[in-house]
Amino acid sequence: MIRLIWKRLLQLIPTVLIVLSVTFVITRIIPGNPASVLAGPEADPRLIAELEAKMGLDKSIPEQFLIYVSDIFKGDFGTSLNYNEPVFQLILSRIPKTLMITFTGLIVALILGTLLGTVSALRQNSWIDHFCTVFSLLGASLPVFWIGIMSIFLFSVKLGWLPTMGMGSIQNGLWDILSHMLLPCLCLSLAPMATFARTTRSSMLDTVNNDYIRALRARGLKERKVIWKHAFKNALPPIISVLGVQLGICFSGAILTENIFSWPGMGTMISTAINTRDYALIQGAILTLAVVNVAVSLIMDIIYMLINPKIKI
Amino acid sequence: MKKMLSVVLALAMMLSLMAGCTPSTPAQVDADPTQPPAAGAVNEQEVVGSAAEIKNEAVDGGTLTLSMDKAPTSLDPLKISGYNAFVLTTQMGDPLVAHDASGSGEYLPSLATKWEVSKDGLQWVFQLRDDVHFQKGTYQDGRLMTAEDVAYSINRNKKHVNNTLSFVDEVKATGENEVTFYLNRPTATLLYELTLAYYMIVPKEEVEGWGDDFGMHFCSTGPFMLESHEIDQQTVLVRNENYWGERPHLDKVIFKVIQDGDQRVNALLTGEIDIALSLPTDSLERVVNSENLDLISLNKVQMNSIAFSLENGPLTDPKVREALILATDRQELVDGAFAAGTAAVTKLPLCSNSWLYSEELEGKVPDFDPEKAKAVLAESAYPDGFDITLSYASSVERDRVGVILQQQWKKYLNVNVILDGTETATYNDLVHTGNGELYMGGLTASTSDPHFSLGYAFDSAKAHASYNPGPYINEKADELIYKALATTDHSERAAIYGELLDLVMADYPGIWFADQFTFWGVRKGVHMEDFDNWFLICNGFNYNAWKEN
Repeated sequence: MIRLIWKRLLQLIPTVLIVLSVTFVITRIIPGNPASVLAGPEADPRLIAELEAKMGLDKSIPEQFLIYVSDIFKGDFGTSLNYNEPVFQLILSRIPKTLMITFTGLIVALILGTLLGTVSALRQNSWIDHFCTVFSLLGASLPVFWIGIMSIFLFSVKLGWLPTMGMGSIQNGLWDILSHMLLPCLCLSLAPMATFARTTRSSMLDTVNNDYIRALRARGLKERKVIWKHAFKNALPPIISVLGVQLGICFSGAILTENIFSWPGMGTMISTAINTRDYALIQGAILTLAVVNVAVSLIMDIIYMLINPKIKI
Repeated sequence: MKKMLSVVLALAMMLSLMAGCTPSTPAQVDADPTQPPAAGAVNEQEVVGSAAEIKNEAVDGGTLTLSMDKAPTSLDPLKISGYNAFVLTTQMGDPLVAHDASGSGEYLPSLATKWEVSKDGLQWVFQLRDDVHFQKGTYQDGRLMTAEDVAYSINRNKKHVNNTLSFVDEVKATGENEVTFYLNRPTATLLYELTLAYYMIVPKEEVEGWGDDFGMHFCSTGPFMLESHEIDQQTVLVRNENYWGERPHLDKVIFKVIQDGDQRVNALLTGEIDIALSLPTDSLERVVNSENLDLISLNKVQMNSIAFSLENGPLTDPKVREALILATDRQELVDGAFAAGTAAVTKLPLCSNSWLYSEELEGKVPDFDPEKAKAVLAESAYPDGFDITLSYASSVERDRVGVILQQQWKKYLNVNVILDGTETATYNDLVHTGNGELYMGGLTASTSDPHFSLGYAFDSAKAHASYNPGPYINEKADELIYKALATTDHSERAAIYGELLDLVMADYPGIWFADQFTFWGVRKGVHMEDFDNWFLICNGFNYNAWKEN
């Protein structure tokens, strides 16, 4: 186990390096440059050249890359042009806000999705099974932004139950925060919920039809115990691996959701950074997303092994 | 059979889940089928009137919430860039002289009580109020503002890149309550420049105390002071209890960041915000149809133009440029691209709400004439047409303009237009580097003074900036532009601008085709009067917004 963790941590190094160089090159290739954004459209080209020199953008790209990487080894991820704050600090302050909605959304999705999947596996071909099928299909195919806009229209504009945007403030009580979280979480949870439902359903169907389940039933074990203690536990591994993938997707998917709901997390920050060509911030944020993804998949592998020691990775 | 039934049932269930969202939309549209899209049916007079008309006595208290599409990164007058930064900083400071939102072109006293200009136009002396205190900050406790502070603030900005006072050599405190501006050439637009947020007066202690962070802890003399500035969330301003002018009615003003235009309308409909700035034109109908909202047409115009590159490609041939102007049907562009009532046809490189704009001047620009266009192109180096790229920052309207123009020029001149609609940062970079052929853009005229549209568009000092992307460089034109600035007399200036137009239009520098209006959504019960470009919520003497309880 320890060896596995070490091995994976070592694998992290090339991953980070690749992500670093790819984002570095891509940010420089896309047209538009931070100096011209900072100076504004009305600015004089001489002023822009001056700013470029100040920002070190007049140097060649390999030279800029070397400076950037050596700064990172010193623990300096650069300063965001937009927010005028060190990138590292900025990302640290934003991650919790994004995790707030992604984790909540994912937990809701996990609970409801597996429940729905289990029930529909046990009642195969019942109405609830068909509901599950249609729901999974819609959940997987409806884009997040559409669900976002529609849910705002329904719950905020038409019914007036929930606020349309923002994060609220804890000073106004817990409900203020919760009510602002509800719609973004709903939005983020639909797609993974559908995936969980599908995966649970098929995994449960496989398990439930096994001989040992029949044997357990024959021994007169309570049905509830058979399902939840024996069948569900054995159906878990595929769900766990889907969970890992979904966490990554959810975290990146938050970019769209946060923009729709003006949620002040990583997502709104990344889109602002891209629109303003805030190189240091784009690189820092994408690096963070990559590290989060790698870390999540490592954690998932460990959980996998703990649940089922037979599995060797 | 049973299986079929359950599938149908499940489907029906799913549909009923969605149903909540859909039926209301068509119902809303059906409610008034006679209504043309968007603002067409809006009676501007009536709308503006209802907001300005004061139904009952102004009451103190309450919070006014406005939306902005993105938060400025700095509120320091030195570093402000973009509309939102201007608007925010303006609410917290006072200019030396104030603009008159009624559009008279006159300037009103604010921090300066009166001013005088020397005969040669090179010295402007301003008398200042003696009762102005700074807002309480971290490094000073709300001390009296002095003439030295005014000189400091303006000189400070002069050293910076944002500086628009290049014609001012120095500002000096020349008396206890008197400052003098020393100009290097007579300039009629000094007073206009002084109304801008760049020239708000700031206390030296705060600027030096906070250093680079002053932009997050802005402090000035205005009716509202900064409480918090959270980028991506909101900026909160609170009443300055020690304000020199009339006490502001509102306790608080909050600017919330909402990036998405339709979301701004949603928040307005639910009452989360009181005023939505700059509505997307396609959502105006939702505001018009709501009984809780007023649609306000602002005294602010976004010009739309296509500047020809005078450096690259076929456009270096003046015959080609002339042909393209002649082959452009402006009316069709405006009718096809902009929602009804949200834009008007123009022909001049001059903002249509300017005092100078007239039909007579429009005569200096060739009319739409496809036959003549063909004949002119036949005389050029490209008689059989050519390929050309039209670059622009993509928006709903500009995408449509591009497509219509593509058809027009193909039909009349056999010119193939390649559309290159990108996002703003890419387009701006293209303008700055001068690598385009046709630049579709246009400036937002923040004042009716012709210098800021006509003057900027052909000034060689603005070459490769968004004002003059061509760039159009002509010494004679530069001379006229500065000559027009040297006098404040409208008829004298009009004559010079007429000469300038004759000069530049003979070179066919571009096509000016539409002025777009700006709309705000305002909730009923909000009483605000200044709907100018840099609007003021409160300014101490003639504007003081309030909200019904």
